[in-house]
Amino acid sequence: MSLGALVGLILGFNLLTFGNGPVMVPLLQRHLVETSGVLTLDQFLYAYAIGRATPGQANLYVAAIGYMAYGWLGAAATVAAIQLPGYLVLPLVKGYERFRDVRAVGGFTRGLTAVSVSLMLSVTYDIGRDTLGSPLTWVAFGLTLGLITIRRWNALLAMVVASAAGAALKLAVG
Amino acid sequence: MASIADGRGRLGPVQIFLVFFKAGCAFGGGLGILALLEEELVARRRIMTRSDLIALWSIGRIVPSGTMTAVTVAIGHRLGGLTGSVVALVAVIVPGFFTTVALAAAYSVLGHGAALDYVRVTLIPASLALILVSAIRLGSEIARPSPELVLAAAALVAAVVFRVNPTLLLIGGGVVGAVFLRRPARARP
Repeated sequence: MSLGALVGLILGFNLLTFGNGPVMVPLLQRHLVETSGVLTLDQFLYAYAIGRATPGQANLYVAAIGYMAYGWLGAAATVAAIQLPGYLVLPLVKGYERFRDVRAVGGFTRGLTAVSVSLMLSVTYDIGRDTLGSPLTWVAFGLTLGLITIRRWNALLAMVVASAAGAALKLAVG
Repeated sequence: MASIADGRGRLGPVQIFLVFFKAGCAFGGGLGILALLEEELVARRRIMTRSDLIALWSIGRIVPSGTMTAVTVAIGHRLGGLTGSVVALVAVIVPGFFTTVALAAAYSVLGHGAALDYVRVTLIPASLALILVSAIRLGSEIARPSPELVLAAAALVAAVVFRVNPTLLLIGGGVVGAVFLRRPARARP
């Protein structure tokens, strides 16, 4: 598979899945691992895992896929493929601005907002179900929550302190 | 939401870069980034309101790209025009991109190591707490007895229990809102 074909594949799946990184995984796995053999299954899973474990957007795991297949050029090209369609938001926002005073559009936005809040909570629930598996994970989670909501700490500082406490505990218990 | 052409709340490229670079350092994916943007742009700098941010996030959800990519482009454009959108997008990508590629390059060393286990029990759950706080803060916009709250509760059940596609839920919620949540026309004096 050429670099152009890889970029085309990622661009197509990104558009098809509305940029949903996890939904792209089975599609990419089938084409990159099973069909074309560009990556081994271990490499693919590792790429996905580091995408979840590193900062930033979760779908940046495609950078790891691009790098493993074609080096720096592959990493840059695959990331461009998932980022550039984001510019489609500009005409949408412009249209929203133009028609926002129409009552039906106002109602549409209120409905959209209500569902958005629910989606955020549902995604939080999903991530929590995957993430909070062991008692150790609850230490970093609970400590961050407490430091932000009760002690009113800066969010990043709270995360760093809570993570350090979690790491120390893991080191201690092995 | 203030107009995109509105001059209020505009920032220079350096400030835009710093705001989005900091957001790009968030763990926990798009919602982690949203949480830091909420803290920086809504709570600290007061450049935009929570409802602005939610509206942009909602629109971002129906764009065929990553949601936070679309939100970043939209906010960057609002704060600094086309240049602002490019600067914001680059800044939000840089931390994750270089970390991911560095770890990809270290595959032979880390692929089967325990280093990632530490991240899974430290930074990831800590990010989840940050995301939860952000979701609750943003949810406070509709946390009162109202038709929106009923719609939100129904959407939550549909998403968590019935695993309905998020894009369909958003579009469905918007249509329900357009029909049932119109504000009454103002009475003429």
